[in-house]
Amino acid sequence: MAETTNIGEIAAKISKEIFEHFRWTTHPKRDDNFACTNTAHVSEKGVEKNTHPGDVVFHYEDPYLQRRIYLHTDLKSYADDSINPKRVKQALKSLCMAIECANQSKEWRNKYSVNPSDAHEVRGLLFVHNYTKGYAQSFNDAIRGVNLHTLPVAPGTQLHYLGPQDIQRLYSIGNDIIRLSHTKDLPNDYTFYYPDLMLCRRHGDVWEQPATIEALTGPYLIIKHKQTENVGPGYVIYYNRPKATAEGLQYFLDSLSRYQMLESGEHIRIRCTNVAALDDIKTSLEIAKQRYAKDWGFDPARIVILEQIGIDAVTSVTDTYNPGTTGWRE
Amino acid sequence: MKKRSQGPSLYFASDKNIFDALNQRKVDSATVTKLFEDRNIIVSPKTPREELARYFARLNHDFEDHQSIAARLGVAARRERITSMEVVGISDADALVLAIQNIKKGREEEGDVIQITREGNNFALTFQYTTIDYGRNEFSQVQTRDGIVELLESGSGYTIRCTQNDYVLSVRDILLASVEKAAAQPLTKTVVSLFDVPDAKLRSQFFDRLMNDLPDYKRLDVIAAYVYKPKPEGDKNLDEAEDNEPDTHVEKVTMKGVGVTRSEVFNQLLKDEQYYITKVVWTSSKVLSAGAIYEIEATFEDPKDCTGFSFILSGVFPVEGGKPTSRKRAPQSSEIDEISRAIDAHSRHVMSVIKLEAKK
Repeated sequence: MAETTNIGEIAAKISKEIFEHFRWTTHPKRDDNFACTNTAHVSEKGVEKNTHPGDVVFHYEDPYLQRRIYLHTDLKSYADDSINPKRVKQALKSLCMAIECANQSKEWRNKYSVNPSDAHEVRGLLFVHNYTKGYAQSFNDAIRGVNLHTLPVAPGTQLHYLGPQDIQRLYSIGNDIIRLSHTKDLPNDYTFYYPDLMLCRRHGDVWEQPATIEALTGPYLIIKHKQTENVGPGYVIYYNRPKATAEGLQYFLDSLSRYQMLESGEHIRIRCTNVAALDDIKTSLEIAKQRYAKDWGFDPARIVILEQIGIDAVTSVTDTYNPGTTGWRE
Repeated sequence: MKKRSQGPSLYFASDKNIFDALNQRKVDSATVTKLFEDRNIIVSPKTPREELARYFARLNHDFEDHQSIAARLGVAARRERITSMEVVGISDADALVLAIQNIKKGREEEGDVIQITREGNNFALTFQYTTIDYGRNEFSQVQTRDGIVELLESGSGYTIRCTQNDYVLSVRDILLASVEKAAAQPLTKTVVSLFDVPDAKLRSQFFDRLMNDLPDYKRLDVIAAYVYKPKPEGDKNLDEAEDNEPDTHVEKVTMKGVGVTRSEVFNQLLKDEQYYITKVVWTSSKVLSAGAIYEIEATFEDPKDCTGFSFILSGVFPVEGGKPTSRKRAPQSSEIDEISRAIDAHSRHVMSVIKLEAKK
C-alpha cells in the first residue's frame, strides 16, 4: 500500500505544480489496474495479460476535436545508468496495449467517470522523470534508440511522451505563469489560444481553453489574456525552440499575423524557454522585424505593431524539477 | 460585417496547404512520422495517411517544420547563372570601399546583412536575400538565396561578376551609381550583348566561337541548343488583310541530345530558316589536365535583343581511374572561378570580333 500512496502523492504534486497551469483536470483515481480484454496482449515473457496498469489519468476538452482527451499516464523514473532504449521501449509497448484496451473498455470508462453522452478518446502518456541530475540527455538518446515504427500502436490510437527536459520546461512555464500573475502582468483567467483554421473549426468558448498536449510539445505555446493592472489585453507566447534564425522568426511573425494576433491594441510578449539563447534570439527577432516590415512595404501601422513585440526569457528555474524521489516505478 | 477568420499573411502555409502537401506521394511516411516525433507523438503506422495529414495540419507549425516538408517536396534553391560587367574609370580601391560601406549601411537598414571580404584590391559582397513568388506553391514561395557581387581588379579596371537576378543586379547597379557619383569622370561599363548585331548568322557565330575557341579548353559536345527567330514585325496586319488563316510562326526551338550542332535539323533551321542560337549547353575539358569534363551553359536572357548574357558551370564529371565518370557532381568554387574567368574574358573578346565583322 505504501507504494500506492507514493504514486498518488507524486501524481498530485505534478498535477498541481505543472498541469493545473495548463488547465488539465486530474482524475482522483490513482495507481489502479483495469482488465485486459485482448487475448493478443502478452507480457515480455509471452504470458497473456490479465490487467493493464494506470498511474494517473489527466483529461481536457480539445478545442478542435469537440471531444474530451484522456491521457492514460504511466509515471516512470529512472536513474542515469538505468535508462536505455530497451526499458523505454518496454514502457511504451505496455502503454500501447493499455490504451488499445482502454478505448474499448467499459470498466475503464466507469473507473475514470467518462460521461456516456460525451465523445472521448484515450491516449497514452509516458511521463519520464529523472532522479539523478544531468541525465536529461540520456532519455533523449534512449528514445532515439527505440525503433518507434515497431511499437504495437493500434490504428487510430496514439501515444505522447514527456522526458525530463520537457518536464523541466513545462515546470518553468508553469512557474512563469505564477510569477506573471503575481506581479499582475497576467490575469488569472488567461486562456490558451487556438486560431481558426481552414479545414477545422475551433469549438466552444474562447476563454478557459486548456493547453493541449500537442501545444505543450509544439514549437510555441500561445496564451491569450485580458487587460490587467499593468498590461493591456494581448498574448504571451512561450517560444520553445532552443534557437532561432531571423528567417525562422520572420515566418513566425507571419504566423502571428495569420492568426490575427498582430492587431493594434494587442500586447504581444514572447518568452523564450531556453534562457541561454535569449540574446541570440533577441538579435534574430530584431532582424526579422525589419525584414517583415520591408516585406509589407514598410506599412506604418505594421511597423508600430512589430516594434511593440517584446521578448524576454522565462524566469529561470535553475534547479532540476524534482517531485520527490521515492515511490516511482522504474 | 462578418469577421474574417484569418489574418493577412505573406508566406505562411495554411493548414490546408500542409494537409495537401503531406498527402503528396513525394512526402514519404518516414517524413510524416518524424514530424510527429518532433512533437513527442507516436502514431500508428496503420493510421491512414490522410488522417495523419489532417492531424498534423491542425497543429502549430514553424519554419523548421515548413522547411522539412519543403525539402521532401523537392523545393531547393537552384544555383543561378553568373553575369559580368567590365568597368573602366574606377579611380582606386578607396573609392570602392566608400561605395561598399554606403551600400552595406543602406541594406542593413532594410534588414539585409551584407558581409564584405577584401583580398588585396579585390572585393566580394555576400548577402542573403529572400525572394517571394506567389505563383509557386506555399512551400516554395519564399526562397532564401545567397547573393554575391565580386569586384575583381583587371588590367584596365574592374570585372564585376554577380548572379543574374534582379535583386543582385540592383545591388551592383546601386554600388556603381555610388562610385560614379564620387568619380570625376563617368564610368565605362561593358557588358556582353549583341543588341546592335541583328544578323542571325553572326549571332549564332558568337556561341560557336565561345564554345569552340575557349582558350585552354577543348569543346567535346553540344548537348542542348536553343534557337530563336523573332516574329517579323508588321506581319500581323498584312496577314489579317490578306486572308483569315491563322498566322503561324515558331519562335523558339529547343534541341537536346548528342552532337546537337552537327544535326541536320539544327543546321537546316540556322541556314534555311534564319534562326539563331540564344542558349547552348556544352561540355569541355581542359587541354592540359587530367580530363575532368565541365558542363557549361551560356545564354542571353533576352533572346530577341541578345542582351543579359549569363553563364553557369552546371556540373563537373570528375576523373576516376584515369577516365571521366558519368556521375555529375556540383562544381567546387575554385572550378566556378576558373571557368568564370575564362568565359568572362573570352565572351567579351568574341563579342568585339563579331561587332567588327558586323560593321564590314
